[in-house]
Amino acid sequence: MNNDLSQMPIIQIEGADLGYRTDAEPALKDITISFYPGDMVAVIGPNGAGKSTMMKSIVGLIPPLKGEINVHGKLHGAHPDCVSYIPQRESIDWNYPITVREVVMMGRYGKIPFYKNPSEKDRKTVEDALKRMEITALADRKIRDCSGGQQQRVFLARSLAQEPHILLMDEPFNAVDLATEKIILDNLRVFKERHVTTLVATHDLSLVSENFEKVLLLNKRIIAYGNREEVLTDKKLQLAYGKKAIYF
Amino acid sequence: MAVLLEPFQYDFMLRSFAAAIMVGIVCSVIGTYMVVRSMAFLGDALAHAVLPGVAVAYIFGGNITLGAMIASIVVAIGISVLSDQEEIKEDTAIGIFFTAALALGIALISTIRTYAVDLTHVLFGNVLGVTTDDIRFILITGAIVLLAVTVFYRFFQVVTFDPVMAKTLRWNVKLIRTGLLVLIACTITISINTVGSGLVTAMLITPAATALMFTKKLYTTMLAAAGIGALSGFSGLYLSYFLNISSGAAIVLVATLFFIIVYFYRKLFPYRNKKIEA
Repeated sequence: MNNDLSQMPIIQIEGADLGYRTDAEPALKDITISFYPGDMVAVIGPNGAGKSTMMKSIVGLIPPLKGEINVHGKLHGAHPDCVSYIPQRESIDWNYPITVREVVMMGRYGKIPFYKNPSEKDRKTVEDALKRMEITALADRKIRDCSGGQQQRVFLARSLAQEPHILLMDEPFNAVDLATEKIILDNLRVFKERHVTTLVATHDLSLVSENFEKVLLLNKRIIAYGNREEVLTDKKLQLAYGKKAIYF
Repeated sequence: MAVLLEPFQYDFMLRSFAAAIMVGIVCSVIGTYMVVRSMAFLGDALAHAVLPGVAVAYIFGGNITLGAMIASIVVAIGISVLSDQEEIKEDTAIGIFFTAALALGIALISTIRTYAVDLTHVLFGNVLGVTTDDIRFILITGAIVLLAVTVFYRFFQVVTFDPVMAKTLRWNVKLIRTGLLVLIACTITISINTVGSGLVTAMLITPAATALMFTKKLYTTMLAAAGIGALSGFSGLYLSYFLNISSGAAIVLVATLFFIIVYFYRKLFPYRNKKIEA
C-alpha cells in the first residue's frame, strides 16, 4: 500500500517555463521533473540559477509561464495546506510583536476554521514541534530576541506543526550556527521517515555531499538530477558553475 | 473638588468624553497594524483624502461624516488596486491618490464662500460639537471595526507578519489587505470630529508605538495601546476644558507625553531576556 503510494509522483512539473514576467527570459526554461514521497533533494546551482524561482513556483507563489505543475496529481493551487515553504530570512519582518509559540501556531492556521480557537490537538502539535527543534525554553520569547539560528528553528518548527506532504526550504543553512545546522539536518531525516518530500536550496556543496541522497543541479534549466554520485561530478558542476568551479 | 467634577455636569461634555475614549481605543487598535507594517504615511494620506467627500457633502447639504467615509473608503480601495500593478509601489500609489484627493478637496472648497468655520472642524476636530447622532455613529462604527479586528485576527496577523505564508495557504491576501485599509478608513472617519484629519495620524501611531515598547504579542500590544489611547482621549479632553485649548491638540499631546515617558523609561531600564541555554 505504502509502496504503491510512493511510486506516484507527488510533484510533477511538465514542460514548464518558470519566472515572474512574461516579457523577459524565464528564470527556468523547459522544466520537466517529478519528485516522489520521501525524496530529500538538495537544489544547487550558482546565484541566479533559479533555485528560489523553482521553490516559489511549486508552492504556488508564481504561476508557471508555460506548462503545468501538479501536486498530488492536481493542478497547482488545489492544495492549500500540504506544501510548507520556508522563505529566505529577508522576507520576514523580525520586529513584529509575536512570540515563538505564536509563530509555530501559525503552522496550524490552515487547519483551524477562522471562527474556532486552536484545539487541544493543535496545542499539542505545537508543543511537540517546539520540543523537536529544542526551542521550548524560548517559546514565550519575542521572535526578535532570538538568534539567527534560533529563528530558523522557529520556522522549521512551524513547518513541522503544519504536517505538510512537501517541505521547501530556501537557503536554511545561511548564517546559522553548527548546533542549528545539526538540528535542521536531523529533522529533515524525520520528515523523510514521514514520507515528506523535501527540497532544500543551498550553496553549501560539502554539506550536500554528506547529507543528501538526491541532488538537483540548476542553471536556468535542469543540468542534472539524480543520486549525488551521478550529479556531483566535476563535469556536471562545471556545466552549472563554469570553469572556475572547485569541487570542495 | 466640585471644580474638578465640573466637566461631567454637562451633557455635551459627557458625549465628548464618550467620543474621545471610543476614538482613542479604535485608533490605537487599528493603528497597531499600521505601526508594525510602517504604514504611517498611509494613515496621513487617508486622513487627507476625506476632504473632497466632506466638500461634496457640504456643497449639497448632505451628511458630512458619510461623505468623509465614502471618500476615504474609495481612496483606500484605489490605493489597494493601484499598488497591485507591478510597476507601482504602494507608497507611490498612496502619494498619487492622496494628493489627488487633497487637490480635489481644495478645488471644491475654493468654490464655496462660507466654508471657513465648518471645514476647520474637519482639520482640527470639534469634539464639543458632537451631537447625539454623531456619537451613535462613532460608537456603532467603532464597535464594528473592533469586532472585525477580533474575528479576522489571524488573517490580519499572518498577512502583516508573513504575507508569503498567507499566499501559500491560498488566502486572498489582496482582499485581506483591502479589508484592513477599509477598516483604517472607517476609523479615520469617526476620528474627524474628535481630533480632526490633521492630527488623526498621531492617534493611530503614537499609542501603538508606545505599547510596542513593552509588549511581546500582537493582541497585548493592541490592548495596551487601547488603554493608552482611551486614557489620552479622556485626560486630553479633561485638560482642554480647564486649559481652554483645542481638545484634539490636547489629546494628541497627552498621547505624545505617554510615548516620551515610556521611551525614557525603556532607555533607563532596558528590557533584557533571561539567559536561556538553547
